Amino acid sequence: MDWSSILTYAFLVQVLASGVRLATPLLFTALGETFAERSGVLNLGVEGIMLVCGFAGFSFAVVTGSVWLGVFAGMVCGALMGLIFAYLTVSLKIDQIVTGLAFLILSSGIAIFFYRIQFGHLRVFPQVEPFRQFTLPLLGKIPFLGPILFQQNILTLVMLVLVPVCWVIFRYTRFGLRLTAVGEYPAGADAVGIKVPSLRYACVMIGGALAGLGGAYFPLAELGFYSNSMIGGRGFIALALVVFGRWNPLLTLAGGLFFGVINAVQIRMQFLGSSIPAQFLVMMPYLLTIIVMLTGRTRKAPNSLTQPYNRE
Amino acid sequence: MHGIKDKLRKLRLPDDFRWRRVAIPVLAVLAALAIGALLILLAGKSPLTAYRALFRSAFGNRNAWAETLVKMTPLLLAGMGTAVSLRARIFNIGAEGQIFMGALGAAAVGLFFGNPPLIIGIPLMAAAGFVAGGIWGGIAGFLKQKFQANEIIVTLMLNYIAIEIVSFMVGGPWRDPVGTEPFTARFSNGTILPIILSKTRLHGGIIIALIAAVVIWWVIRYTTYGYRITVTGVNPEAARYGGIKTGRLILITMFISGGLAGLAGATEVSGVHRRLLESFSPGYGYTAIAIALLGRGKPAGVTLAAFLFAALVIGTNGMQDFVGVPVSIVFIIEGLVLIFILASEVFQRRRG
Repeated sequence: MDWSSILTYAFLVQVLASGVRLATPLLFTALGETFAERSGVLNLGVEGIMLVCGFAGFSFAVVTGSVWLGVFAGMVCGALMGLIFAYLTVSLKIDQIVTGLAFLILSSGIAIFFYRIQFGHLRVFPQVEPFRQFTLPLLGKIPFLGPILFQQNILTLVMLVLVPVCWVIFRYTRFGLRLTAVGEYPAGADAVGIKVPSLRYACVMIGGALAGLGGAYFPLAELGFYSNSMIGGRGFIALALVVFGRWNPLLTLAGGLFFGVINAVQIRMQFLGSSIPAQFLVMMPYLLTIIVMLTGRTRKAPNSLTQPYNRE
Repeated sequence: MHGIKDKLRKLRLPDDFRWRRVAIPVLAVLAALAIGALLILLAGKSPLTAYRALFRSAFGNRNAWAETLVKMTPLLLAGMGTAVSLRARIFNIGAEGQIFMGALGAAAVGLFFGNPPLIIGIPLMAAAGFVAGGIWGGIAGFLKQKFQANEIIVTLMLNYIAIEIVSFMVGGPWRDPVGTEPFTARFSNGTILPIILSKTRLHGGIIIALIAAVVIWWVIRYTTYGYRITVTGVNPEAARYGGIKTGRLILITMFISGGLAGLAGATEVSGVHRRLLESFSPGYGYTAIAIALLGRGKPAGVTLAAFLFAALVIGTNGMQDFVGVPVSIVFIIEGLVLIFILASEVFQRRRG
């Protein structure tokens, strides 16, 4: 491969722009999981939630003909799955990790089974017209940053707005401070009158809805169709991003963008016919996730993470 | 009044009485199958016909039993692997990747060791599978011990990496030049597990799996290592105060855990496919998690759970072939069984 002809300004902009696009579903899921984890609940089931909601969103979009309704359905589906997860882990106090693993297995069954039932008889597999990329007025015209950040599909723009919004929520709002208190010291939060279980329910449901949005992103904004392997471990990569970002949305964004760009480079190299076998390129995001996890020692998780709250 | 209550209490069976341990999993499976029946209705098929097909495919005749035991082999080995780590409260969900690496190790022996006699070839092939899977698990153990890297995420990522490595090997360096699909040449005869029931696919792997289960039972029950992992799993703080080197324990446990899964991959490619191919595992490693949890990490429980889930996998395949119910229903049933069992434990706790 001749690098000099590839490493041009246009190429750089292209790779960075598709990096932002590829980071979008990871960041939706990671932001949602940050809510759940800051309140003390580790939802390992997000990978499964993404797949089921990806199917639900896609199927709804096919039936109604509207990708917007598909996004809505994906989020509702995610919130409902979050509700079930919260019931099992917050109310019944079942081990969060084990429940997450059960969700993972159950979800892959649900998505694949219902896809077969709904679309299995069709000769041609169904497709939707995904969200289009468009140039945002004014901001989209900024040199360099414009095409990277503001010539995207609408969901990517939503993500870019959501990151600082979440940061503000965690740092400055009553809700954000309360949920952090619940995650760090539930007994103390309870003593000052915060309802620990309801707050955790809310956070896990927000997490589910955002994971649902992340899952629905694949068929509705990226692919235009549904595939059983479309999530491919990205739910777990999102979990790694939350740890990497120290439960802070801004750091998580940085991590997510880095991931997206590496992935974009990897895909571009496959496309350009690099001498490195495709399998080793496909491996890169997974390898990178492992490397990211090596910094685990320096991160401090919310105090009560994975601990159910028992009122004394 | 109080006297009667006390008498009634005395009449109640003790909490650790055996039948409860059997009854709850059975009820959980029945409840999951009941929901499965609703899903079959939703698919526009008759649950009765479907479940009859399920039962017949898994137990209907000699060949059905053989197929169930063929399926049980990798599930039991990988399930035991996951169970060993679970006992130490290490969540190794990377059995799938360790299965692939084990198969790769077995293939190295099957392809490049000439044609040894069975008595040498089989142990060599199995050992290569164990070591390759063990190293793959050991990597996660090392990273957990050294860097406190979360093993759940690391083992899951290693799954994807292992699958890609196998895909590369069978599509590139080890590809059978005359093969139409990406797979390797046939293993040498001395490294292929022999058939132990004529006119079926039942191969010697099931014997290896059952021996492995007994060995693990013995190790857990009678060795200091087994005692150490149990203590570490129940209370890691106490284990450390008691002088157990938890770091080294993590590494050894992950090696054994991955090794058992590796053995699952080795027996599967050697006994069933007789060559290495890209997608020889329909998610055995994930079903192994359900099996380990259902069997509560105990060898006898895991063996029963592996048999049950093997029958379920074979049965749902039959349901797909004969009735047209999508085979993915098996994962729904597995997930539901797990959730029901977990929930039932909660209600028991409350009543107790």
